[in-house]
Amino acid sequence: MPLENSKDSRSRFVQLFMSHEKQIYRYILSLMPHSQDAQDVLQETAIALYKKMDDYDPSRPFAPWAFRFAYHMTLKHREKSTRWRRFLDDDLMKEIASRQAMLIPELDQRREYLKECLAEVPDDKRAMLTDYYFEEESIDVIAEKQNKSVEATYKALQRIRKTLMHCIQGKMHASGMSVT
Amino acid sequence: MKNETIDQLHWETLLNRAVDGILTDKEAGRLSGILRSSQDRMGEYIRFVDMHGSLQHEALLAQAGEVGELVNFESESDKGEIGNIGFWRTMAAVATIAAIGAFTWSSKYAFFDTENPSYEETTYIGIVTSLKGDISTSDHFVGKGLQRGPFKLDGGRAQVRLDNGVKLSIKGPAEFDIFGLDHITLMTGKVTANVPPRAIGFRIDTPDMEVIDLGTEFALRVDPSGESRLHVLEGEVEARKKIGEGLENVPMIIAKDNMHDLVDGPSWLDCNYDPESFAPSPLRDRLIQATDGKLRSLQDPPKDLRYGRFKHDYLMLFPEKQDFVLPRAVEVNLSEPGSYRVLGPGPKERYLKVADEKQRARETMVDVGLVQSVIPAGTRVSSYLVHFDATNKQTDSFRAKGRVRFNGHVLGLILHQQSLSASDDLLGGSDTIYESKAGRHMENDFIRISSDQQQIVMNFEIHGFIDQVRILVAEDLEETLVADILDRQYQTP
Repeated sequence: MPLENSKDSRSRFVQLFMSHEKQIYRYILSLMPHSQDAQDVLQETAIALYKKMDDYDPSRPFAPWAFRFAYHMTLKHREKSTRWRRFLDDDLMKEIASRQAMLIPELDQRREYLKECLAEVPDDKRAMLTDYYFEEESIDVIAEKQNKSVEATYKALQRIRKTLMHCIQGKMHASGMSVT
Repeated sequence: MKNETIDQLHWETLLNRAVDGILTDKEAGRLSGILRSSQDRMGEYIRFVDMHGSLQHEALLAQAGEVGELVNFESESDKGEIGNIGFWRTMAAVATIAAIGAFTWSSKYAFFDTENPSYEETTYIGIVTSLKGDISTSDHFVGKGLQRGPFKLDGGRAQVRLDNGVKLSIKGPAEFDIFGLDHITLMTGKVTANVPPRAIGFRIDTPDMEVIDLGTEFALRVDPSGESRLHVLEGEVEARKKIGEGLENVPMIIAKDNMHDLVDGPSWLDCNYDPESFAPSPLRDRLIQATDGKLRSLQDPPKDLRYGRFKHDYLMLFPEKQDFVLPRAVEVNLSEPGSYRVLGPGPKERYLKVADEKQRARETMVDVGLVQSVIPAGTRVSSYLVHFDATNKQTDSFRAKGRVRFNGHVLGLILHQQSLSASDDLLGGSDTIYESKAGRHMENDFIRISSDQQQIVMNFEIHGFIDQVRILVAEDLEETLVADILDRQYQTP
């Protein structure tokens, strides 16, 4: 049954969106791995969902309904860039989307382990992650601060990501969680 | 090196370049091919991208108390934004949409209970950024902090900027109530709203209408009779009429692009735009591309910049003398890209005790007398001033940080009290009263000039004095270079 067209329904929609927003963002990011593009798609998805909220049937789960919009918004966004057209054909998009859905429980667990792994990162490397992800510094600014070349700084960032991936993987194996 | 290892390295490079947005078209094709041919690589890709998203999105790296300060690098022009910062904008957009739900005021309540409105708190949620025309009867001034509550303008024009980036241009006489960042009620007068993507959902109620922004700029007018008129200047809005105490069931989506199809539409829609009938579009500063944090870009300079004039804690950035040729050379304290710590004598001692080696290695300590360069006479510049006066704060010290990105190159910063006072007459606004040098006192303040010399990051601390930085921006790089070359030639013996 569709939601009633009222402020209550809008409020309910917003609650639903807020509680699924990270999930939708990660879904989009898997299809379009650059954060700026993914954020643009997320915004467009939010607006599309908002406009269509009266079509939502609350007896059904919200995420798959929202994913459909996110998928189409990604398709639309793909057409704006040669790079994304080269990366994503329709078949690959469908494949990534379905694989991502299968991996959701594992990805949730990995995020928990990521927090633990971050706590193990040495201070200087953590500072670099903070500069890049939280302070939103560009690599050249970080390089300048550290008095290193841009190339060396970017390699250092890649190494930290690799270490984190290994750390998470190690914890997954140790916990006996299967990796699909 | 074995091929296997080379492949692995190549694979990891592709993954990193993909998430950092620097894949070439060719690499995008390669990545696509690998994912199509290997299920294992597909799994690795999804896990890697998800980790990257978590690092960005989960604020795992945020330090307590810092989330929400430097959240939005608000674009001031159509030239886009800076860096990988869109996430916070998206979050704010979502939060704003959320506010539509949170503010479930009935329109009747919003209008007829104004004698005792339920404003949530008394913190500042915006600032007056411009005042023009006859405002003699108004108690507003440029740089005035805005709180929830009534706003009245008897004449002239005003512009305000709310903390969610919404800019309102108001043509007096006008009267409205600010109920929150996402909701105002316009009783009478003309208001044009420019709503950035992160504030989608911003709503204006009038006595007979409700208008919700869906990413746009729109103009509203409420005549003395209480009748509203709407025109969409950009993007689209959702509008509906009030019926009795309620609203029409079905809202109307009005886009700029479909307005010409609605000529025979509702009477409240002005399909043909008459600028005289509405407030003008909010102004933008032509040289400022974007700002964020506590920094607020004002279109006009405040009249009085003496100590203790402002009660809010925004860092105000405003134009002084614009687009003119320097009649004499000007010494600037900072001009080279880098991170600087500006310290007074007392704070310097404390800083040396507290700052660890890494911090000291990252920041160049700046002495009061430092002159990093001289901008030669003949250079075409525009001057801006950043003013921070949180002197009403009861705490011993108070901090605020912000960023600005200019469309032009920053030629230099003047921040020491003597240098500021010495350049007021040349670079300052003619109608502005400046603080004497005794009240301008940098104590323990951080400034970064980006490597492309277009972006300035500030983290200022107040200890009973105001902090100010004068920023000189090149108006024409080519001319600047010529002037520089000429200056050097004249100095050659």
